[in-house]
Amino acid sequence: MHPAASVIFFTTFSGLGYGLIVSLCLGVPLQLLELSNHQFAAALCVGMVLAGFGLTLSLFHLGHPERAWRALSQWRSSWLSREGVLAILAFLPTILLTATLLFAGPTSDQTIVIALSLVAASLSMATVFATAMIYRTLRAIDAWHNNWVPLVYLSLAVMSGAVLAVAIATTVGRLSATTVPLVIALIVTSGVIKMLYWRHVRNAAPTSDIASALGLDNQAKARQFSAPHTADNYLMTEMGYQIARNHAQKLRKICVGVGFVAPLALLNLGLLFATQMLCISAWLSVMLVFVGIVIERWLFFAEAKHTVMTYYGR
Amino acid sequence: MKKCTLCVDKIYNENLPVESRVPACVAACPTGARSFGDLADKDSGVSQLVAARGGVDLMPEQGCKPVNKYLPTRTKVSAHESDRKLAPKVDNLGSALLRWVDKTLSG
Repeated sequence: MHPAASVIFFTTFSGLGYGLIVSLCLGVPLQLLELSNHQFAAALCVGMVLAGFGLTLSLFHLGHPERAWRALSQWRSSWLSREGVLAILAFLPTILLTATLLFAGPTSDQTIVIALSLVAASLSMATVFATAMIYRTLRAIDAWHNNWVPLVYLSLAVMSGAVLAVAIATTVGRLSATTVPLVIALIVTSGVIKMLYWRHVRNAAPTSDIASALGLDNQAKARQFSAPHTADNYLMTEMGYQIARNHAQKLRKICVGVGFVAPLALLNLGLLFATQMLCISAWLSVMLVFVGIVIERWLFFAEAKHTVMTYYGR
Repeated sequence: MKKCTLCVDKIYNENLPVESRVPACVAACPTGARSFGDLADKDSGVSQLVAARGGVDLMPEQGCKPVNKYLPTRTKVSAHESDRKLAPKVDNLGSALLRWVDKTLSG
């Protein structure tokens, strides 16, 4: 599938933004991140800016961005529509929470903060889940039609958000002793999930083969002898994007190295040494995780093949 | 790029003669490989074709439940020995030219 730059950066930014909101909404009440109310509010704004920026970017992969609002009416049947609705809904408790944190006094009831935090975290997770379901429901693309896809999207969003939350907390606030080990565990878990997904894609048999595509019996082994056209058409460029196998493997290694191994090493180093080291490590890790996820998303698209390509001998 | 409408504007067009109320691809096919009709109606021409020749879905495992069917290729009817009795074989062709003419015309 042709990797559209706008969709790649949209999902990475919005995953990071909503992941940050989730991390903050769980981390601050659980005192994994020690931030004052104003710092919590400011960090939530960072999350909203990142998610909002990502959502704006997504409009650019449309032919008519000004008509995008109409998609919200199809929430009953479309995951893309549900993603749009949830993305907007997720902002409501987040904005309310930000306002509460900024204007409520220090003696105010923490129950409201915790309640709004839980709602904001849930809706943010639901938004990322809806994004993943857009791809998971596409029956004709074998690489996407499995339950690993929502797992990968959710785990990478939360992981990237958690790394950013740690970076913010080390800069302006404090962390508890268990925070960085938890984030390290998150990075390992999301890396393992991603590699299990790659293993599934490698081992799973394709749903349809050339014999069923041509209505032949199972013993028929047909292959395309020659094509009726010398140039690619829309379907071949959009649905049958080809990437050389060795390029894909190289990119996978870079993705794992940059997005998972390097941040792990940096955060472990930061744990061993001074707080300033941890702060630098955390910010470096944010940038590396971001690049790693961009590569992962690019591969997610580039390595997926639409079943219609069977008719083009691929 | 737009989705096929099966030329719905032609199908119900009262201004066209009945035989022309078929999709353009069906009318255009030089080998007559395409047929149009109502598969939901058991007595329609296409339903009878599908029943007689064993029409199949392509990629049924995709779960798309297509509304069209593909007819499998028919087995070729090879020439039978009895057909040769129609044209008597000319033997004893003296000249090579006559033998060549006979061979060419027999195919």
